[in-house]
Amino acid sequence: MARVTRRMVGGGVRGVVVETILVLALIGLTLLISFIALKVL
Amino acid sequence: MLLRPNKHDFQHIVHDLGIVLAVAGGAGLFPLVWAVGYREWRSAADLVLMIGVGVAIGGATQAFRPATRKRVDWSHGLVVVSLTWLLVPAIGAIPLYLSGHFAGFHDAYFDSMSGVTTTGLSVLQDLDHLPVSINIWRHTLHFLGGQGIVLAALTFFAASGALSLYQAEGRDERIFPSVGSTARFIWLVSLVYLVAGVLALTLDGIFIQGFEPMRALFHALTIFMAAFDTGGFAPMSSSVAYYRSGAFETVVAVLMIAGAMSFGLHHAIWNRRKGLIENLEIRTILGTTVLTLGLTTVGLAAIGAFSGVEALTRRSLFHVLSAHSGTGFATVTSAELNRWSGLAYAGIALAMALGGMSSSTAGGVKSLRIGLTLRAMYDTVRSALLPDRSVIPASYKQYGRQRLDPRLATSVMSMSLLYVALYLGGAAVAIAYGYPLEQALFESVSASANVGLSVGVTSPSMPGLLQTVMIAQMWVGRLEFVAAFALFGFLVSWVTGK
Repeated sequence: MARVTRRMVGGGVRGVVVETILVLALIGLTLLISFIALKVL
Repeated sequence: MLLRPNKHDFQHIVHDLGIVLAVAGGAGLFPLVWAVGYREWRSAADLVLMIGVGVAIGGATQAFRPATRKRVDWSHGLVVVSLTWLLVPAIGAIPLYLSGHFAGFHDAYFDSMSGVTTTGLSVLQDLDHLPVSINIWRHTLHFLGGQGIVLAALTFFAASGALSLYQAEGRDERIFPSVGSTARFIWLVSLVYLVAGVLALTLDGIFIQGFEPMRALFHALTIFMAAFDTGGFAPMSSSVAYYRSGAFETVVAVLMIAGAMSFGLHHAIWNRRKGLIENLEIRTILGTTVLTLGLTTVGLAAIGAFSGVEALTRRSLFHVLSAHSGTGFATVTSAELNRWSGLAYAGIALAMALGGMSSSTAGGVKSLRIGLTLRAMYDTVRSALLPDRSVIPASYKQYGRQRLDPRLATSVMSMSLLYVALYLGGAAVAIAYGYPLEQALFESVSASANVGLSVGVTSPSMPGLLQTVMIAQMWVGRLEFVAAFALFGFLVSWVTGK
């Protein structure tokens, strides 16, 4: 039971971490596009 | 083709529908607790009335319990699902209408349908003074619709034939061998995000917004239900702009992405599955996100909407994620959104129209269909250009190699075209009422793809017929056409006897 719970919590944490990294990557990409767009346009 | 329904068919449908309506009515217990806690006695009475109606209908329909429980077939499942999404909003509208914040029952039904279909458009008046418990009920409607009323029913009342209801609801991705274990996994994923999301938003509420703990919890819960179920209702009229916090918006962005992800992908990430990036659906949604993000950001820079990099990044990314995931949260007003012309308008409208991943609470055409449509078009062009004897391997990767046969290609293309027709049809009605093309199309796409972003067409003063058309768009968009067609076919078969 404890092993299953640990696996589930581990999976859940992994999911949250992956999505947070994705959002941070998108923030970085948008910052780059914004910076270039404001400079060029 | 459906055969003419007989007495047993009606018994099965009424019986199953009754169970679902009782579950929906019973969900009113959650806001009822808040009503008692906040001493909102009038709202409590309205909620008790709704619970009574739901449970009474559910109880009455048990009289129709078929003598022999035969396996519910595919068409029965579709009919129950399509009627569920018509009747649950009617029950859900009772406390909304009685709150006095709507011009009439039709307006309350609009909001209730918007809630259950996880759209987020609203014609509610004076949201900022709505009782806490009724606000909780609006968001519970998102949760009911998003998690799937049918899924809840089959979790608690798992019976023979439940699989057809499950598949008809659009969640045909069986992660585990049985429906029960798949349903348990879906609830588990939701629970993990509920705990993590509500905790993060509550802490932001207490330490950044300066809310009292209970007020912070109320805002965290409502925003969580709307974000994770890609709904879009917010407890305040200024939506997420009310919080003025980058950290809050980041947490909401994570929840919106989680809501727009298929539960199959959640399962794959939880189990460290490799090679996910090769999946057609993931490649497509990453590609369309970057495309719409680029269009919107460059478009906003071109019209000079924001002069600073930080403001431009925050507004652009948040609205693209909100639109693409089908959530509909905003950090600008409808009037400001209406001024986003050119590329920015195209970026947001395109993100809404494309939608999220299949087997998620997001609406729109869905990424897998977009990917398959593009793949089929590419193969068609390639086969036209190559010599006649050339053999093109029509396949794609989606959790393993899958065959893209002509039947599947026709099916996804037809579905994509149906969505385009739905977007254009709704826009045509709005244009007939005198709304400009851009506004009409934006609002039509928002309703059909169950998003909820608004440029101002949706309001308490909107024409009644247009409101009815948008209700139909939200309903059809949520059911992804098939269940709505099945209900139509069922009624035709019943009337014509063929």
